[in-house]
Amino acid sequence: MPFEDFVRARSAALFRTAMLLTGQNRSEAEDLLQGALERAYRRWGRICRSGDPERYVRRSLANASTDRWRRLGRRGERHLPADTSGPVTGDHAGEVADRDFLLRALAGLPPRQRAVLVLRYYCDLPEAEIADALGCTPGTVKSQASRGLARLRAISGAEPAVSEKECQR
Amino acid sequence: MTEIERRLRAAMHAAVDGVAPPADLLQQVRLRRRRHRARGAAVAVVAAGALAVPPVTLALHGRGGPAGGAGAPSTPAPAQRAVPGTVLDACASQIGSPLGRDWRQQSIRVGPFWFIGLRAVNASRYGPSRVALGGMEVAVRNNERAWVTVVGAATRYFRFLVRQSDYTDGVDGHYTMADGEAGVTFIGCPPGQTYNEPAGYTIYGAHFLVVGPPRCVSFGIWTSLRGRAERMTFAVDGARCGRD
Repeated sequence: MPFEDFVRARSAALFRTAMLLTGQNRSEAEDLLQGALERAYRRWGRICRSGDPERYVRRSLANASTDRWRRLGRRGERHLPADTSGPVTGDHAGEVADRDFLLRALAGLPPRQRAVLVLRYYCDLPEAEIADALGCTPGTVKSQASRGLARLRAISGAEPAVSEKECQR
Repeated sequence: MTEIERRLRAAMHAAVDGVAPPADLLQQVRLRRRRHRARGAAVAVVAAGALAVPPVTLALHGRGGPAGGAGAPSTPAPAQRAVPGTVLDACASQIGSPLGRDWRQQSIRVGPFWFIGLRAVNASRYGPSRVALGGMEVAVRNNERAWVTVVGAATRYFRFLVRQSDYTDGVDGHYTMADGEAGVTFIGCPPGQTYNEPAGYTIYGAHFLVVGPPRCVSFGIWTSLRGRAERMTFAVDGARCGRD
């Protein structure tokens, strides 16, 4: 597949992933995706022969996002404003507020935790593939996801699901 | 799936579904590729020049400037040229990087440079490799030409990774000291050609590699205007640093 065709076909999905990886910072997401695609462009023949160029680009995106955040280490973890109240629930406006609240909490997670959650719950990747993308073990993926979810749950005040409660007993 | 997982998945999809990439994405990628090639070509020129000129061993402990230091240019170099022994980071490769409110507190200022986030910089190791990778941002005053070289003991274990923008190679454990650079010449863009933050400065991104355990690294810093070297030392991964 020519590189241009790949970009036309897959750039929307990749850009959305980049948006989530950067905490919905559009300019950073554009920069992230451009960098990942440029790297892929350089070695397109080899990547294409591997049979899954999207996997390469996604891996590059995920790594660059965590690297970028480490490079900008001063804001490795952002905190929600002190006056932020919990999400409202019960109607459509409340649902929207809840989503907004969760996304801001997600953006405040350490970069690797955020990347794990985005790859797991937005891209629907299995743990093994996330581990491959981030250069870590599946166990690390599992623990990072668990910590990230715990953090989101604590911030948003969500009750653990029944199955989770049962596991804790 | 737990409640929080369900809500998170729904929130992420609601946030970005329908979001489109910029229409000129392909064009921007090609432009970036051309910049990368241009920078590679500039480096090749510098490398060729370095064969004729002894490697830079700037007289960092003396007060002599580049004009008098060993290996330093005897006449002002053209604006867009790297000092021998360094690679060039010029306006085309600046990055637009939003800075947090407290970036100054976490950064080190020396001469025309801000080394952003360098007060607490870390490097990551991947797998069994002894080579750790880190990153920094360097802000240089607009219209300034200044260069940084690693000096002292750190020359044995620290290198800039300016040319290697493919981070994946490092993550795969493929980098060695030979892949890095001992110095970088930074050129601040003309006013009006930079991103707005911080005002009056041009920001560049630079990765680095460091071999072995937590380390202290010293830089020698030369500026075209001041004409003398300054020296700074910082810790990687929380190393305790004295004078080296």
